[in-house]
Amino acid sequence: MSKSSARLNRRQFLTLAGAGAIATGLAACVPAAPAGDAGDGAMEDVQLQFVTNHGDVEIPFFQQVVDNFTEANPHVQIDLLNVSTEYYTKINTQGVGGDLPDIFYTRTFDVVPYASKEWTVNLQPLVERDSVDTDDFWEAEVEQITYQGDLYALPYDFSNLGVAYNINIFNEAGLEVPDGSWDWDGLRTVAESLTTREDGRTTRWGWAAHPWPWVWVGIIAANGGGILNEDQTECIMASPENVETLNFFKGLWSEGIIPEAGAMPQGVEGFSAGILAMTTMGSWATQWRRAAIGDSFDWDVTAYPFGSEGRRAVSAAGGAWGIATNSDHVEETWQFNVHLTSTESTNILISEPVRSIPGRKSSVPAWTAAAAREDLPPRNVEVFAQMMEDAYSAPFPAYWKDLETIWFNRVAPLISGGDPTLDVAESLGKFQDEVNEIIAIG
Amino acid sequence: MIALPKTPRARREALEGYIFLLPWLLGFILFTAGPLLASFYLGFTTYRGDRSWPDWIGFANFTKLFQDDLFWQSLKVTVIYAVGFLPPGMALGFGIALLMNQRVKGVSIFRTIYYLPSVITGVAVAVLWGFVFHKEFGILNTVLELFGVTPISWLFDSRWIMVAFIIMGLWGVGDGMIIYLAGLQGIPTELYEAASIDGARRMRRFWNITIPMMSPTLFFVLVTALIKTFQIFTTAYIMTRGGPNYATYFFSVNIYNTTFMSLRFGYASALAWLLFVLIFLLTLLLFRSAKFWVFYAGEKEETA
Amino acid sequence: MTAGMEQVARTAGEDEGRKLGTAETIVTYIVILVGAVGLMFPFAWMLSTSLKPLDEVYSYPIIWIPSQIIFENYIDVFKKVPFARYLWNSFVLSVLGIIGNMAGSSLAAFSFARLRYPGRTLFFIMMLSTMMVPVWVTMVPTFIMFSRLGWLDTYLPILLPAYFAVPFFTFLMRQFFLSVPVEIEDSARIDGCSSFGVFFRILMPLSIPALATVAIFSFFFYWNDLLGPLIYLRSQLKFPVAMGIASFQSEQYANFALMMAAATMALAPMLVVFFFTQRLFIQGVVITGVKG
Repeated sequence: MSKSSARLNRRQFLTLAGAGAIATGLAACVPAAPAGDAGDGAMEDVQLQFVTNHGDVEIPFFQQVVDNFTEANPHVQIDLLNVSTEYYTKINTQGVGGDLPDIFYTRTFDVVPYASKEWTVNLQPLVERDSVDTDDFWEAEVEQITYQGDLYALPYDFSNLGVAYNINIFNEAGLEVPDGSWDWDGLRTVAESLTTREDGRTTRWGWAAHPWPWVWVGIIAANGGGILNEDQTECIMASPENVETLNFFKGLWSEGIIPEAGAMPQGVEGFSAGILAMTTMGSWATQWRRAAIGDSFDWDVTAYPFGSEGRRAVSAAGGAWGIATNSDHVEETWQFNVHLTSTESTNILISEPVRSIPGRKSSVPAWTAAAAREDLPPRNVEVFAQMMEDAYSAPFPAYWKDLETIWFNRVAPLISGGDPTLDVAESLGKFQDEVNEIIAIG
Repeated sequence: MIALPKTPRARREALEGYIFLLPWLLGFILFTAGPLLASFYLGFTTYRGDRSWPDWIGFANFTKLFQDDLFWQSLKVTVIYAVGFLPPGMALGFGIALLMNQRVKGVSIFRTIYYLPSVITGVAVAVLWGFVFHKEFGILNTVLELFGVTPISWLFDSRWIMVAFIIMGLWGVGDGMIIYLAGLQGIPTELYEAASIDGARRMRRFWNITIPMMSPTLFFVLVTALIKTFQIFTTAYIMTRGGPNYATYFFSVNIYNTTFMSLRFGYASALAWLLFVLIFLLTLLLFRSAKFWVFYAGEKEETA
Repeated sequence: MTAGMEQVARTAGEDEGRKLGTAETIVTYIVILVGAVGLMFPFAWMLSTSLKPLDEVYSYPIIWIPSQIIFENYIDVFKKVPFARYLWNSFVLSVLGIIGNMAGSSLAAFSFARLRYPGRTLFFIMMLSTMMVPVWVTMVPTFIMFSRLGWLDTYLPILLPAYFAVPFFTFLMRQFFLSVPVEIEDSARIDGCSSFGVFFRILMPLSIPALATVAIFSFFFYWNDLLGPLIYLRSQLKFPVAMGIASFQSEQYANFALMMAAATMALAPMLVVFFFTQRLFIQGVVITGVKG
């Protein structure tokens, strides 16, 4: 069977692969699901499925944006569904099944995989037709939602990381609070002097790292290394620069400056509990941290350290919205996507409630104003938006999820600790080999 | 070959047999067989979840499996876990059931408490494990330190994590308790009474009455626990993502990742059907062994 | 009803229990109590977390008794998500699931255990085999099948399997049916009972603990089920309670206080149901043997 002759249309494929001969016979007796009313008239009633992957906090904002749209377009009905957990199990099942929601949340990690599987619609022609102002999006995010030169999603938010610090602890120690001009050695020195021990047991750690791989894309680049080569055809993780970087971070936990995995009791959040002087903080966590810390202590946030190359390369990733190729109403869904990612909606969804950094630059002023309105820490919250200038920008490859699995097995233990016998060069070598195997599978 | 029933009575019984079997038979044909066949078929293809017809590649997935280090690693840790978990799991579940079958005051409350681990999941249990396995002040290390053992990072050290997983597995044996309790109610009291008159001691009554009478229940728990244990997934998926260093990369985690992370459906199906063969053979062995130790009071002829 | 049978109001375990000496009773209590304290730990944490303000949730050391006990979290759960609706949906799913599982599995189990016909062993092996294929590889084909049937966003794909004899429960019931002595069935058949009579009048009443086990298990399965609803449902208001609990934790933040309030409310019915059902395992409703 040659490859080209083996291409069937989707319905045929679904029928055969999905149900098998037996169930198909049964399916044939049953009227097909009420598929999209083949709309000739533009104003025909249309029902759209809109699926997000958020929490209870965001839902009212999404509902408001939906209501704004349906008010202006009464012929469109939008069913909002929020799936907080096991989102990918659902989306992947529906993706293969050719039954995706009309519009759904795609993290910037997902855009390339979904586009390459023809699950999501190429939005480039529509972007050009309706002259969507892509200059208002962050350049780094545009790169992540682009596949083979075309946009496949419109941005919701963009996130990066800073360092949160407990001002009370700095004051007690008589140390100047950080101004963000530091490098990694600088952070280490500060963290070390804020670490306290009693009877050989650590009672307070200086800082805490984050093991997620996307966070490390930037850290590694700023130190002159890289996880993947330029065109992402090869993993170059075992380079001497990377061994040095990871050795530095391994040193942090093996010398007790940052907590080893499991050192922090489960259910306890170290920074809120005051047993971490500083921590990695995501740009999305402002409101959550405010609630979790309350008035226990004063705190603020500052920029990520510079790498050994004298530059900052801040990892950034975000959320976006893709349109399913199986949608029967791509035009209406596109209209809604444009509405959903407009400055007005972005203000409602992200800036006003101080979620992560808005996906539109024009929404940033509203975001900073909203963050300052309550006169609560972190007062320097603007630093997240400022760091976007240093955002490390590279798209996430189609095999990113596989890379994550390998990362959590081979590299995360070097960052989080647990097994002091691990050799950095050996682990990175294994990581590199295994990622290259995945790339070879294609 | 299967002999057809000869007498009218046997024919009638056979007809009734099929009628009672109908719920399962229909469900199997309508809802189960199709997807099973589809996944079996996909095991011989390179299907990646895209919109093209999968390429038939014969046994290539299966030959590739045997050169795949991760396949061997996931097989190894799954077998180690099963061997380490099943015997103590069976014994503990049965032990708790016997304890909960005693006539003590408040046994209803205790049974409910002992069933809690089977209904509480997620964060609350993770907090518990944090306290049990914590390197510095965990219960386990505190006890071990009395014997001079240096503290172990149970959940993050690939050399020890399997022990932690077996302990976490034992936490959930309360499910079995309820099945055992149901089984214990079916033992005729007269048997014990007769044994008491004979002056049999408790241990002898346990071995000569309780165990044989419970053997159908024990057999059920053993078979289903075996099938379930070889498919262990949730704890590893939630707590370790298969790590560190693939120390908890169980077979089902491998299948899940290959399906939903890599979207390599063909290869995942091959993995799944290989696991199926393994579980099937082990189950068959158990059924072969059953005639030596499982006693059915209602057995009419050779039953599986 | 049938000659030769009597209702024995005592069960095996109780019989053993009566012979416990004082020392043994004390030891038994100590063992049970020590275990119970350990098993209560996560429950205690849940309850404590659900009654605190958020800024005491993540503190160290854990504050077991909140500075002020607040019940707002329980009210907030209903304000932030349609939790009452989720509870109702779980209730509907559970009730229909219990009925299906009890009916479907006991019918097929009776066939496997007490009737003889060609292919019985083969069918039984096939049934057990379906438990051995990991769900992840059949999930997508099953989804496509139900999607083609037009059953998405209904409870049919979630509930129907229960009515068509779930292998686990069928196997369980088969084992119990096989334990009922042949003599009981024989005397019933001599009295003129058909297979249907044997099933309804003899085996079902004798298998109340087994049926109770099936009921408890299916209740907990459907009450906690997330995977089925996750895959097949589309409307927020059709989801069960597990979805409600999960919505207080997203990839970026977790509100343990609300989450544990929701989880505690979801747990309560399970404990109540278990507490009352497990009595069936002591009251001696079982007709345990043959006399004479």
